[in-house]
Amino acid sequence: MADPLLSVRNLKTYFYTDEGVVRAVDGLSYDLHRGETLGIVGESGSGKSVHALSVMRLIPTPPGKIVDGQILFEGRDLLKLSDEQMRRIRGNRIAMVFQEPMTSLNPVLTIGEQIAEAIILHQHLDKRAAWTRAAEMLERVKIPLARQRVKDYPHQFSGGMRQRVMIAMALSCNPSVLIADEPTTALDVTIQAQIIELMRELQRDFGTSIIMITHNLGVVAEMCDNVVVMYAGRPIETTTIKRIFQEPKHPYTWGLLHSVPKLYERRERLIPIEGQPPSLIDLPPGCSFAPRCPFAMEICVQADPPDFPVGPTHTAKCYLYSDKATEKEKKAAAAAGLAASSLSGS
Amino acid sequence: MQRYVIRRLVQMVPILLGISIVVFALLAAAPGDQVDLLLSGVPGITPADVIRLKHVYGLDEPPHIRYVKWLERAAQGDFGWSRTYREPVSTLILDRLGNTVSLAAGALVLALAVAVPVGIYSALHQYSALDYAATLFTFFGVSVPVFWFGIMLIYLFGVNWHLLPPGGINSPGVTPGLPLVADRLKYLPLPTLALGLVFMASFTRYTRSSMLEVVRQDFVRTARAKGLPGRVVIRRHALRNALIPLVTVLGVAVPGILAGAPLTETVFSWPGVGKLLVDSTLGADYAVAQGIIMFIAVMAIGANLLVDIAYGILDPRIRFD
Amino acid sequence: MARLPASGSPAVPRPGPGRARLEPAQGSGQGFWALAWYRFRHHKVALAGAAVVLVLVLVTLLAGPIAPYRFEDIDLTARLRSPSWRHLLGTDTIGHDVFTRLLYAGRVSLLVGFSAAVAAASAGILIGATAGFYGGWLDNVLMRITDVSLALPDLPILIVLSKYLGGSVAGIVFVISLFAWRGVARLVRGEVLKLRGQEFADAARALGATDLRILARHLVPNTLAPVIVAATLIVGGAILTEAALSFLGIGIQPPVPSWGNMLQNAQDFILSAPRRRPQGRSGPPAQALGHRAGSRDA
Repeated sequence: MADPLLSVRNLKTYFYTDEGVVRAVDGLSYDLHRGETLGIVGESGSGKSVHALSVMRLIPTPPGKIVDGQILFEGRDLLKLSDEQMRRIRGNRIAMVFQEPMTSLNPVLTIGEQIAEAIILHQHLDKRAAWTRAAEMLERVKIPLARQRVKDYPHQFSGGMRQRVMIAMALSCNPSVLIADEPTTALDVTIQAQIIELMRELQRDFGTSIIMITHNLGVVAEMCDNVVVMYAGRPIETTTIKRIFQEPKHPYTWGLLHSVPKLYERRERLIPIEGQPPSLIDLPPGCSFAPRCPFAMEICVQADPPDFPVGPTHTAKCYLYSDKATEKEKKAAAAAGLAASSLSGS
Repeated sequence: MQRYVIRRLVQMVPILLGISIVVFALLAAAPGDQVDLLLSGVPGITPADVIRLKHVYGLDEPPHIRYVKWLERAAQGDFGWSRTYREPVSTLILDRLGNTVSLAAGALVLALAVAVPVGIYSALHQYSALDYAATLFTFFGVSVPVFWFGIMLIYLFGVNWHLLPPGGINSPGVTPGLPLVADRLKYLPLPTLALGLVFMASFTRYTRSSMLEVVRQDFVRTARAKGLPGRVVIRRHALRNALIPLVTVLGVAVPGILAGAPLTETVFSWPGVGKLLVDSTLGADYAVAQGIIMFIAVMAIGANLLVDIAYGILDPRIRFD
Repeated sequence: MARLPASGSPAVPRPGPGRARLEPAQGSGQGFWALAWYRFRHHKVALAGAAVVLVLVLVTLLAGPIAPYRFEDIDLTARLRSPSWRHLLGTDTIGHDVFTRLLYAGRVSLLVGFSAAVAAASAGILIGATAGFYGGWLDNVLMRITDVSLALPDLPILIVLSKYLGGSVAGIVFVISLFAWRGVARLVRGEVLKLRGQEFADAARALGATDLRILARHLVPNTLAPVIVAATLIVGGAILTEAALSFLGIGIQPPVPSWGNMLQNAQDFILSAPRRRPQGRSGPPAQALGHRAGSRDA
């Protein structure tokens, strides 16, 4: 396979608060290839959004700091760039769409100004040309009467429309990578579907690689090629979209699959994952999921599990796939995995 | 927009009527009317003279009739006659209005000129040495009474160091025109600073907290994510959003400035409307006091309206309908 | 102090149980006042402010035993003296002992401040609660009056009013209260309006409680916390207003001392006999004023 477009290596982003060091992202690695859509899945607090801000180098410092790792974009380590060099990548080569369309646009500037400003900055177009391009982008994201609406203010748009504006803004400089941080979470279900559809279409047209950050496995199934499941700041399972639903390996992933409600399928009840995600301060040694894991073994609370290969392009941080697990435990796990995969029904 | 302004102007009418009733009632209830005051101690006045004079001035009529008559005249700009200055009240006020307005405007401009940059710097460099200094200063500024601060300024700059004149508005015998303006510039700084201090402090505080709030907003992060340089993010995206609410604070400051004027003008012997109010009140010159209060009320309410309109122009989310 | 990053990045976990320090368990019978007291004890600025106020109150209440002279005592042979052991802060233009008058003036100031706060808060509660509870035109009228009067500069009107009503402590308190109730009224109205619709008010009504009882027993007590905060602000404001009026010669009249009329005396002196060092006269009352006003921020 060709060199990845974006390669995150052992990224660690910590927050130094009064209460202690919050290890928000603690050793994340993945590769994103050209034209690929990578899903990053996890509960709130799993570090997915912090990771996105880390890639953009928008972590508020202090209290946050990227303490270790590499973010290789087209072979260059973003963490080694000067602020000035990073600025030229931000919004230009790597763009981001945020979760809150209602608050992510500046209320006192017209959306035309807000889109054109990035175009003028990065594409060096004059104001007229930038505005024309802004209007084109609004057309591309299917905002009706786009040419008139460039002069409108954000409050004159609905939530779904504002997210379209955000997408138009992000794609206006034709970036190689688009990071979408829960882009549909704040929207109505019907609007969610429209936005997902729009993003798929735009990806086809623009050839953008997308990092899709979500807690919604449905969104992952709709859009992604590969998936990283995050838990407590770490990637606990990495694989293709097909395998995550057909052969999920990590007990946490099973839990996620169990807790997704399914249309057309009458299930007795959703099975939530017991317990709470751990506090990211003073993480105990061992697997951070161990306290909630029904399959936890002795080793799990003693040592942090490394990535175990569990199939072609499939790794899981779980001792069930090491020689530490007994045959009996492996069997029980396999059964549970099968049960989880059958739920996804895809 | 036009309709909104007209509606607001119409709304002002009952408010001003209410104020005028209160002011008039107060002064009508005052012990001794104009004639009593005018004639007290004058030898050779008989009670018959008093009654005749009161009839001439219409003071023997019931209060509500007098109120209507007073209102009629006031609406035409006639607020009566000052017994101590022996001039029409409106002339007295208009003569001094410029002095008060220049002092108040100077104080507001000075307050803004210091507060906005300091507040922004404080917010962007939270917990820096200058931020702590600014916080300390705002604490001092909002706590210190204007008249004490004024006296201290006079003592230090006027008396001790002889840098600036300790009071008044112009040196005696200055020729009008440019020399007068140049001369005035020496008299302005101290009262302007005294009157402006509180507003400087409160605006600084407000700008700082407003800015702190805005830089944490999602849209500022969006602006950064576009790759805009930090300066542009602050100037184009944060600043405007942070300063719009400051307009509201300005609206509150206008009555505050008008309230501070009597004290500052008295401390610095600044011949403005505020000092006139204090002097006329002390001298029981009620017609003047009445006129000034009506005048100040109109100014305050007018400023309020202006602020609301300005807010609507600056913030696209506000619609006038 | 570190702050957590911008809102909208929920991925930064809110660590552990309590965000800040652990507060005593809420809802375990500790009650509102205990919690308030706990927070207060741990707020350094509040504590410092309280200490200053407490010292001032004590010193002024004990003015009789502490002060070396009576406030009306005049020593015409010792006018405008600099601070010395006989006159700690010197003497003023007619030979009053400044330290003595400062103490007694503090008593007047505090009396004015607290009386005005109590009077204004009571009036504010009454008006606000009535407006909030009954709503309708009554609410409309009361709140319009409040709005309008809030937009007016108060001091000019106070100046004219005090001319008739001022001069005495009671008069000054009355005049100041006339303007100070507005904030409290707004506050109480808002709270009552909010609480009125809640279940416990309905429950009380269902049990046959009268309007007055619902207001007095159920609604008003729930608004007290912010009212107390507002009332402490009124204390500071009233002291400053009294000082301003007395300074202009319209408030408390000599020989009764007040920080304001002492300052007036001092200013006359600075300008008329500037070469004598005046700190002894204008410094102390002003510093006392500053402290007092500062503590209202806490």
